[in-house]
Amino acid sequence: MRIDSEAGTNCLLLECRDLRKTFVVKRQEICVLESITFSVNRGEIVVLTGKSGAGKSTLLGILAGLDRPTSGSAIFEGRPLESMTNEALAWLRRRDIGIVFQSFNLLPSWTAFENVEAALMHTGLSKSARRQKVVALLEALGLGARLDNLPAELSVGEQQRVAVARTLIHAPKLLLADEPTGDVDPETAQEIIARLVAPVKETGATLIVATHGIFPQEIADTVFQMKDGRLAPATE
Amino acid sequence: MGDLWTCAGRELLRRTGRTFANVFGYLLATAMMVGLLSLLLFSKDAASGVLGSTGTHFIAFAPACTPVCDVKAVDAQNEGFVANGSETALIPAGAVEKVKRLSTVKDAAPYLSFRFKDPRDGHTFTVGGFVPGGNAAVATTCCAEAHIVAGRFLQPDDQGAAMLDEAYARSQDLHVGDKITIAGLPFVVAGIVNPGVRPARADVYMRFSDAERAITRRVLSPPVRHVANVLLVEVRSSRVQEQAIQSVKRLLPDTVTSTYACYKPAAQVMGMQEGTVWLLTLLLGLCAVVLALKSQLSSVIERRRDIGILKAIGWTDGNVVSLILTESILQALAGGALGCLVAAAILLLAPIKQLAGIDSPGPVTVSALVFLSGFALALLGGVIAGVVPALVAARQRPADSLRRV
Ligand SMILES: Nc1ncnc2c1ncn2[C@@H]1O[C@H](COP(=O)(O)OP(=O)(O)OP(=O)(O)O)[C@@H](O)[C@H]1O
Ligand SMILES: [Mg+2]
Repeated sequence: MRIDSEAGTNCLLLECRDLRKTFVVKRQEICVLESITFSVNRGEIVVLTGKSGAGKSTLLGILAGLDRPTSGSAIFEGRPLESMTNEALAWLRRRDIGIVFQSFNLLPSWTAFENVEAALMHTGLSKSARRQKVVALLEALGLGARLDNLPAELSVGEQQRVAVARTLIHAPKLLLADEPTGDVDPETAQEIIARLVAPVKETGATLIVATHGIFPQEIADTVFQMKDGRLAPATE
Repeated sequence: MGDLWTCAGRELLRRTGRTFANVFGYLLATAMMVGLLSLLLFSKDAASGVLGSTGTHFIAFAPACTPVCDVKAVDAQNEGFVANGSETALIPAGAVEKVKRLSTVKDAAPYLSFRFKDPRDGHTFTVGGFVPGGNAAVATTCCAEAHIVAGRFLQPDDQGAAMLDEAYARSQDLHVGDKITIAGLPFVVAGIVNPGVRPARADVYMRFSDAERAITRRVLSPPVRHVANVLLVEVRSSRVQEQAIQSVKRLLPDTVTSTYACYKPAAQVMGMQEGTVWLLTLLLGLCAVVLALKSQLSSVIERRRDIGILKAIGWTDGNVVSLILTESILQALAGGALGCLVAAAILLLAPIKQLAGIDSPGPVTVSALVFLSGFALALLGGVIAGVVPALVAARQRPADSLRRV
């Protein structure tokens, strides 16, 4: 990761320029992100650390096009996200960007299979092709016997794996993972990390992981610390 | 498209509680609308049946001073052609047929109304001669089978039979089966009637031809044949009464008419009723849509998070809108259909007529048009109630909806 913005190289995937995000709470403006400038190349693994409330989730939300910055620019493959329509952003998430949420965000009335299939619903894939893909991935994640269970019938670790599967299913170029190992045992954490890292190694995807806890920082190309909404290279 | 129906159907089947509440909302709205509208139309029709024939009749006669084809009575002092208390001339034959052909007129009949003097005690009484056989104009202006208090009503072949007004029978102490003499001719009292206040009321009723014979004996030549001095007219509806009166006056310029004023309020009430029905229909429809909108909107607010999730994994606003709209339409279809069934069941099985106090023969009619429009309105409500919340949902920032847990 580079803090300055040397854009223009072939392998550049994502670039943030002077990102700023404020929320207005009870008529008072609070600044959550301030002067965020960095760029990420294809095939890189970036770890964002920082205390709770530092603004990690907010940043990932903007990078996924789920939220819009107050000012500044987030540029994905040369296209500034803030100037794209909702429709274009949705298409971007459908094909190129996947996000694993801190709180999983599974649809409670849909089964594990259906939750993962939902990400392929409008891609033009046939029902049987979708089924094949989804079942294969869930089986690989050890959820072969849990296809028809609702999220409430799954353990937290299993829910997390379903959420990971939903993100990996369409092989996105940019993987955003918000605290993906927050609530699971070390063994499961290992497996989830391996699952997230695999596409980086195999297809040159880019992975950005946000965490406030323990995360094997040695796998990262760049570790990045967030403090009070600002970005600083990890000291250590 | 198939995926959409699958997703929507699945969502509805899994969230049974919410689906039930929504479908029940549509059911209630549709049943209420269809049921009330059917009832309203039925009671309006029943009331129109009554009001439409309220005061829808009149009599026409030519006052005596008009020299049409005057016939002088023998005892002109006491006897003569009368109608409504005044002396009349005769109306030319053929007038009845002309009046009958008017489009506003339902039926018309000739009537002979003559005042006689009883030679024994000198009291005068009127005789009304009509053609028995169920003429609508006779029934409403003069007397009808329903007005019988004793004995029986005059029949077409009842030669020599007479029917007495109840008040006259009492004053003369006459009963069914008694023999009376009018202008020297013998009659048997066949029945006693009490028709109430009627424009062509008489003390004694008899067949038209019997009246001709009796009157002929009391006038200076020529014999009274195929003429009448009063025209009885029954109008199609109280709303065209004024028109009918004008038409008759144009046909017979010398006549005056006599009617009740009550057809006027009746016509007004009918107009008011029609207005009320349409207003109520409109209000009921509006209520149904608002009810559906409310239930859909609250379920969308409840589902903010689901919608945020779908958008986060690449569903466009359009995809989300289609899903919510499909769910809403499915619920409206189910609720609308069930509502129609419930309404039909209640209308056909419950003692609606007794409860509503509608006094009308025949069962409560259920109109297919009302049901179709009720169903269509439920569907329309479903679409509106789907589109609005779906658009609200589509406008949410996914980040906002996902943050609220
Ligand atoms: N919609 C919002 N309205 C108001 N304040 C918000 C909103 N979203 C985030 N914030 C605030 O922004 C700050 C950063 O939140 P964020 O969720 O990004 O932190 P985080 O670094 O992900 O924390 P954690 O490690 O606990 O997940 C918090 O103080 C939070 O209260
Ligand atoms: Mg967070």
